[in-house]
Amino acid sequence: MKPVKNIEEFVKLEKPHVKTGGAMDERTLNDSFAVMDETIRAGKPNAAGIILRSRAAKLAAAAVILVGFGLLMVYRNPPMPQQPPQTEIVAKSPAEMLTAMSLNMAWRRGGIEAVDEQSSKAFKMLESKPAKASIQELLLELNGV
Amino acid sequence: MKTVNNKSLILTCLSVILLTSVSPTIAYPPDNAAVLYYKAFLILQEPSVDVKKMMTDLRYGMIKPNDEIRQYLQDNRHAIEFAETAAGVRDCDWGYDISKGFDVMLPELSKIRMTAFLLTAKAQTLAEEGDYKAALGKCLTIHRMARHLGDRMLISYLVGNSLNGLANNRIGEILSGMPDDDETLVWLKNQLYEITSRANTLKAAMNSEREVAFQQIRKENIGTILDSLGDGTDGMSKDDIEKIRNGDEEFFRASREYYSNYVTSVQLALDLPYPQSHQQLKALSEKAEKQAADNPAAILSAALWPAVTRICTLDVKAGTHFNALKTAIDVYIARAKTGRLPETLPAGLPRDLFSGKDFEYEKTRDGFILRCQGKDLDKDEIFQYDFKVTK
Repeated sequence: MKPVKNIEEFVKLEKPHVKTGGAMDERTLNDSFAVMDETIRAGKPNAAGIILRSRAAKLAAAAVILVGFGLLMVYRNPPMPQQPPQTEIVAKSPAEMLTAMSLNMAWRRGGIEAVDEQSSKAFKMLESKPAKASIQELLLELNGV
Repeated sequence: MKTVNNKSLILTCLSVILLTSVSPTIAYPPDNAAVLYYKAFLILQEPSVDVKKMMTDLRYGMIKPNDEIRQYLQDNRHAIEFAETAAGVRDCDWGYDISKGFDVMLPELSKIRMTAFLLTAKAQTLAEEGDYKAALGKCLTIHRMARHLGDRMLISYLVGNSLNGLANNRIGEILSGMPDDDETLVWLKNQLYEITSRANTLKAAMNSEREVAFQQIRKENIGTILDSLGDGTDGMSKDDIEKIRNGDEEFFRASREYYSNYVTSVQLALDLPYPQSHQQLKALSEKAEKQAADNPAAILSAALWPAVTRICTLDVKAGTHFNALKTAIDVYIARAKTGRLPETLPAGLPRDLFSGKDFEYEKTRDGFILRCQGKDLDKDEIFQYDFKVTK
């Protein structure tokens, strides 16, 4: 029996179906206990069997298996390097889009065209419309006519 | 005799009283051009999608002025009139509150660009109708508007530069289609020299930007800085952001000091001839980025400053374009006087700022070319300016 090789084979074959977590840990622990109890029940009084009769020793052995299994998983599935933090681009108000800093950044991104585009978006959001009010029209409004 | 003197005195006093009390109420235009620009912006009509596209095509020489464009210009005639009057006023104060740092609002930048597009379209329609001097006048108005944008903010300066480029492109086109007219050419030359003698400078813009940055790089403005950098934090790590977020008073003081020294170094580099200046600015920029890894005080300078080499190149390009136009006008004047293009460039003309040398002059089948002898080191490109002559 080559336990390490077996575990490697198991990981290789079963990896896609294995989901680590509390349930999986418990299942592995129970399986380990079942195998040990079976060995003891079979009445093979070897040194390992004697040692494994105590519950503390059982737990320690199970922990060793779990740690080994965990190390294998980590070794075979190294954690993905952490993505560089993306600074969140928050939704800005039209006024904020027209600040010096915001326009500076637009220029950095794409020159004068980007500045034009950003300003255009800001004014569209403001729904900036031309005022056609002449003096006559304003007077009419003021007089309520 | 005494009565006459008394009468004169009374008349003089009355005149003075009348003048001082009445003139302010009828003074037009106002001392501040911005007042008139804002009026123009208020009545400026947005073009429809179709007209906007036509205006763009017209600017790029893909179409000629058509009825829709003429109608759009007619609808905006009052806005154009306000802008032209504003451009003739000496001073322009946009009312920036510099204490707000980079939060200062600049809505006028977009509107002034739009007004400049109107003016270039107007210039093209006037040239099409054969009124070349009026067409050139519209382009000069754009140059004056660019000066009015000022050098209080770096971005205003850059937008002003783009307006200059827009106007200079149109002037080149108008000159290419204009019959020989010595008088108009001399007038244009004098106007261009006068405009460039009072032009904004990149160094002044950098000084102003430093002043604004000093207001911004403070602990109490940290949120604004991080929000703003959210637009373009290329290369800014989580660690850097944390360092800024957790920065104490000393961090911000050191950051301001680093920023100030950085700007001074950039300004000194700008005094060098373009190739050396570009090389030095590139080195400075790389140094700031590298230092940001070890020296927290460098982080904000590296993040807040746009690519200085590009800014320098654009500035040199703008100056070179002006110089090419001045040189071309002298060539056109020589042709107006002799009836043919000169074989070589007249002496003592403005130079190509990329190389610091005279422009290369080449006569072509339908005009002439002024070619730079140095290249844009960012784009690895040599600029040349094509001018045509009428038969």
